[in-house]
Amino acid sequence: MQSARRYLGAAAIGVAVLMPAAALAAGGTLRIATQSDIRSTNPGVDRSGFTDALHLNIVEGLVGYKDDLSVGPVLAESMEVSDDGLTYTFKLREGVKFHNGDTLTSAHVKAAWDRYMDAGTKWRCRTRFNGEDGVNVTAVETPDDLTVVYRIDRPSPLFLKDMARFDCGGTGIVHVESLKADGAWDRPIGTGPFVFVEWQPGQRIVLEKFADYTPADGPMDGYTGKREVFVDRLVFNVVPDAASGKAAMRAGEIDFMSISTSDVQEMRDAGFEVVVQQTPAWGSFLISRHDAFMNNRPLRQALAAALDVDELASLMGYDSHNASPIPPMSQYYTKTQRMTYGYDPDRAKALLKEAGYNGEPIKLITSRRSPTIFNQAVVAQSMWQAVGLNIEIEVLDWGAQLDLYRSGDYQIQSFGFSPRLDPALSWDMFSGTQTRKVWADEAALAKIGELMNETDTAKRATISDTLHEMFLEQVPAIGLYSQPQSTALSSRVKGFEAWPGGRSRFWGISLGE
Amino acid sequence: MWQYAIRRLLMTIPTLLLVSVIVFLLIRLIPGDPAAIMLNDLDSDIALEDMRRELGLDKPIPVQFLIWLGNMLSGDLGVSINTGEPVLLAIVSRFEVTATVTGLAILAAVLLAVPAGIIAAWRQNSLTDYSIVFVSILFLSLPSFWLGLMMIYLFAITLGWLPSIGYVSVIEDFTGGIVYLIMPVATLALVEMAMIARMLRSQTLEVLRLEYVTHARAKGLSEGVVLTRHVFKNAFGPALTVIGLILGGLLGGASVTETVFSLPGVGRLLVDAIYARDYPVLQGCLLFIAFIYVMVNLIVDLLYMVFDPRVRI
Repeated sequence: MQSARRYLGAAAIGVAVLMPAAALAAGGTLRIATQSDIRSTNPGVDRSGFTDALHLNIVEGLVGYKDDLSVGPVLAESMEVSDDGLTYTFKLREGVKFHNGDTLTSAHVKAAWDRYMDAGTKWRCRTRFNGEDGVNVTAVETPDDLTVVYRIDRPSPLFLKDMARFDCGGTGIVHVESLKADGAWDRPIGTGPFVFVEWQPGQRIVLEKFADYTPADGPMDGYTGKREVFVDRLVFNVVPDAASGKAAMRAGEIDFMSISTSDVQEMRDAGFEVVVQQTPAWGSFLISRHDAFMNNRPLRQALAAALDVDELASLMGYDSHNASPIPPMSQYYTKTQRMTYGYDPDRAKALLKEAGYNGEPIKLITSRRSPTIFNQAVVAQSMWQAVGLNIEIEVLDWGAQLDLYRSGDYQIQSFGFSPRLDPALSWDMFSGTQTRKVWADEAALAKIGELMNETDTAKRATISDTLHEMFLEQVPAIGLYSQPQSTALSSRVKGFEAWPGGRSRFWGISLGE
Repeated sequence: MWQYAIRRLLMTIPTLLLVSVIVFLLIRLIPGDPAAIMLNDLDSDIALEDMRRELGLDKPIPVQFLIWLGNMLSGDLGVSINTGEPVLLAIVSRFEVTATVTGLAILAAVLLAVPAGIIAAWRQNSLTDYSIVFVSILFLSLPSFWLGLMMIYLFAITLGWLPSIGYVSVIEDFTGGIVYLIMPVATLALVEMAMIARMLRSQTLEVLRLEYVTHARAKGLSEGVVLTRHVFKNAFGPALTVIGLILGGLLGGASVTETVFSLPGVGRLLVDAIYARDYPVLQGCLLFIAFIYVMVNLIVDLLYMVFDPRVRI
């Protein structure tokens, strides 16, 4: 049965190669399995990683991330920044339609912005734009139907990046009819290539192709460039159990599914195409600065030197390690960022001696939130034991682990950070004086502060490099790798391209037989 | 009897109140902050404070309890932290799925187990008895998730006869819905059937040894009449208790089976709520489950009288 299906798959690919591209673009329903449901249909308000990904197929913002994690125009045709860095002028693309048929104008952009900035909307990124936790947008002006001008109180390298953030819903421009008469959220009416049709909690979400979609020009680059839709319908089935999802793919009921790296080989052996794409999600071991015993630099350096990170990455199924929080696809991933601790068990033993370590037990917290977060703890434990470190693993559930992460009440944690798409945010995610942050070195924090405000790319790269050198020396955490994301595809699916942003895009995909 | 039923129903009120206090406190003793879980590792202390305020988690626990109790008494179980759905609506819509699956499973299990248990006892130590006992032990020993996955492998992947995921309400589309129910119902029914059959077999064996059965046979009644009229009615009483307990348990959510077959039932709602520390849903679900247990036990007690006239309530 399986081999017959494989032959059929191979035949389908053969036919597909021979057929003109237009013959493939015949519509159809793409059936997707998702382990978690969406949290809401309200972009940037009630969200999760998967929720953001789904929303960003329905709504579009002025700007979006590109493959190299820089920002480019989406609904904007062009954007200009004034010399003083305080005025951003966006020219909108002409003739862009909302799902309800209205044509996009600057007034829609301003209305959507005003809604986001209203405290009652509970937009999670409001504080990034009202001066509380970032720049202050002092005015949004609409000099004509296709021009929007944003004025901010100080130059910032993060203004556009924050606007494009996935967890901000890409600051998607939603039509006022997305709201009910009483102002409560109803359903997303955006300008994206897919229209929201229905959500049955715990079961499925259905999106349909937007027939009047107006694609931008240029090659597909992250969330920017051309978005051409070839499928008629997207059906996201909520399949919480990974084994059931894989079984449904084998039974031919699912075309598209995110899988864990440990399942890549199994799905390839079963005849599925698996696309593996590196993302900025960063695997690491956090070392608490609040634990007196771990507040011992030679001990932390010994922990780093005892880890064969190449071997660890390979055992996790990853191609390479990355000690730096800056992901390899970033324009800030320089030669310096490639530097690592250097695996040296003898040096680790010498450092342990210098640290005065005498086999005291050290607790390593982990959970089964993902196979990686658990497996990396188990592998590292054996590497650390080889140099004489007495590491005890304690497995918690994710909620309990997060509690410890926030309080700093632990010794070491096996952790994974979700993607940060700017070097300032990558360094900031674990650095600061808040209890959850593991790096509170004053010099480092000053450098991160500089990075937050510097707008020159070359200067930013230099600051980020200095931070990496300090990071390797002080070992507030041990960086392991930029985690890849794996997607299994049935033989029907053609043209899917993963991208470093990791959020699945459903334009550009067509379905074969 | 009605007086008894009404008294039992009234007794559920203090029971549920007690359950609500215990549930409320126990949930808050588990480490894990729902606001922190929602925000995950994303940084912003301001966002976390806002979220806690929005969810009412910034108030002292006794105040939170009183607010929740007040709302609950007015029929408002709150809104899910995880999905924003009203809790009562979420439970009701998920319960339809769970009730359909478990109701059919228990029905199928009883229909299979009753004849199997009685025949096994009647033909004790024969090949039929050994076969029934063997099959029962086999299904009792198999974990339901494994049985479910094997069914998916056989009927969905290899034979392609049945869908492995999804759910269509039988109310909306009967034939379409049944197709999605076959495997989950069979998975639950086989395991429960084994338990009921074993229980019924041992009860029947006891009853068969009693003098009135010998007497009935001596009167010249056929074996069929002896078994159905005299043995079954007396042996079924204890099995009914087991069926009641199983039904109560399953109606509270057959979470493993629901997860394997991607069914949006109460069990999955509960499990998801535990991981997300979705307090309103957890509280609502646990209260609902307690209520279901009480009701099922009440119905079982009332049914006792039907099967055993000696029982007077």
